[in-house]
Amino acid sequence: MGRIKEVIKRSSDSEDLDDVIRELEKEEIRRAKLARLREYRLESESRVRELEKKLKSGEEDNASQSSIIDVEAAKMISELPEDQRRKVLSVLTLVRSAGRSEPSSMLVPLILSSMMSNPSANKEETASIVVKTLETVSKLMKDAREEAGRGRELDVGSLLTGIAKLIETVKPKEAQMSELEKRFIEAAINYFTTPPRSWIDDILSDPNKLEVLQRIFGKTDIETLKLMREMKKDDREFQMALKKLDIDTKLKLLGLREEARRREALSSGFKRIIRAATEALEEEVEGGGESKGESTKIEGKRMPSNLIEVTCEDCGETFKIPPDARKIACPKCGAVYSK
Amino acid sequence: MVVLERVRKLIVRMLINLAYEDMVKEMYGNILGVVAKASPEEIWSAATGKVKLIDNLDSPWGRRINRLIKLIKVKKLKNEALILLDKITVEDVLAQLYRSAHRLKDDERDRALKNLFFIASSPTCMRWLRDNVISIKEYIRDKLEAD
Repeated sequence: MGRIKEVIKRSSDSEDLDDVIRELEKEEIRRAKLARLREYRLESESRVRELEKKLKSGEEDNASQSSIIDVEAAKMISELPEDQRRKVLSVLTLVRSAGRSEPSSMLVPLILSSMMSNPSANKEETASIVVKTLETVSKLMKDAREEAGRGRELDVGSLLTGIAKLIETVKPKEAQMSELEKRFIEAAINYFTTPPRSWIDDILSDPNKLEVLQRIFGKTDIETLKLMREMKKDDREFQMALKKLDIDTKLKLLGLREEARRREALSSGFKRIIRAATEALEEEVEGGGESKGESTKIEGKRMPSNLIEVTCEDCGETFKIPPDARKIACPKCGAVYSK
Repeated sequence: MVVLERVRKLIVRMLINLAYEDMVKEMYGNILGVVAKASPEEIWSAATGKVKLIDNLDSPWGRRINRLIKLIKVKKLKNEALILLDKITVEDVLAQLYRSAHRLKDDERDRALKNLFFIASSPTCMRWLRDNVISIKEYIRDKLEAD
């Protein structure tokens, strides 16, 4: 009634009735648009709330037993012995409670490899290693994305090198680890390179929502939306470039690991033979041999140069050893032998 | 003023450390150069013949070392340099050589590694290397202490 009175009042104030009605119509349309927007927002909010509820219930399940939605991760866990399975699940719960939302198929291999490389670490320590690794991986990915955003060419190789180096800090002890690490890397890359579905995709793929939006905003705004989606597509193309972690790159990654392992073996072999030679020198000094401060002479009595050629049983490398060697190490693989 | 003085001292200390590190790097670099080019037979022969490496080091090395020693003396921090010098052991030298060898090119690296493993496995070679380190340290110490 109020509206009719207002119309009558305004039309009597010498305003054209049609104009008044048109104006009111416009206002009604504006209100309707607002109402639709509110409805859409409420709908989204209720969906978010539902998802939150699901997530919470999932976390609760997690605490009690397993929350492995991922088939691959569940398979991995089911193959473990009972005590290890329990530890993996507890570490997984701790990692989740630290706010990490990565998929289980990515977390489980990482947890397993961390457990293998640090068998003495307790649940909390393992969880801390895993969280730190995840943080570094996500930082690496973010940095690479930003670099690419600045117009620089994305160097997938350097990104992988970063991850490989990071994983190398977790020292491998078992051959099985390489398989686990490969799985983790793949899962991590998939996770970080798959952009979450945005609300623009939702609207543009659903004709009803699109229609509602068109009615509310008109065609121009749809164009903006499409433009935004195109921008997202560019982003996705970048993601696809990242995903193109072809066999060569993976081989490069594994090559880096092999090189690091070789160095590790070499360095431990080298340390052991230095220790043996130092001990020999100390024994000599104690036994009244040459004093430490004695200077060398250019001319001296030469020992016969009967160097012995040996072949490493592990890698087949042939190398020469001095006749007085006590402990030797292969310069290729680091295997140590005693005389 | 006190703060400025402290900053000045800090900068001088940093310079001296850098100069000292350069000097030690020169020493390592030259020893490694000799080791990477030699064959196990040559090393064995040098070790048993007690050949002095310092006599085989190139003359630019001597010039660079002298320049760095002069810098250390000008900055009146030779005591610190002497303390640092005394701390170097033959194990440090071998470990440093091993690390540096990994930075060489493929062929050179393989040969240098083989020779380093050869030296480390033999007490005779270790003694020879130790004596050489002592003589190089003595050379640097004499230069530092000379007025």
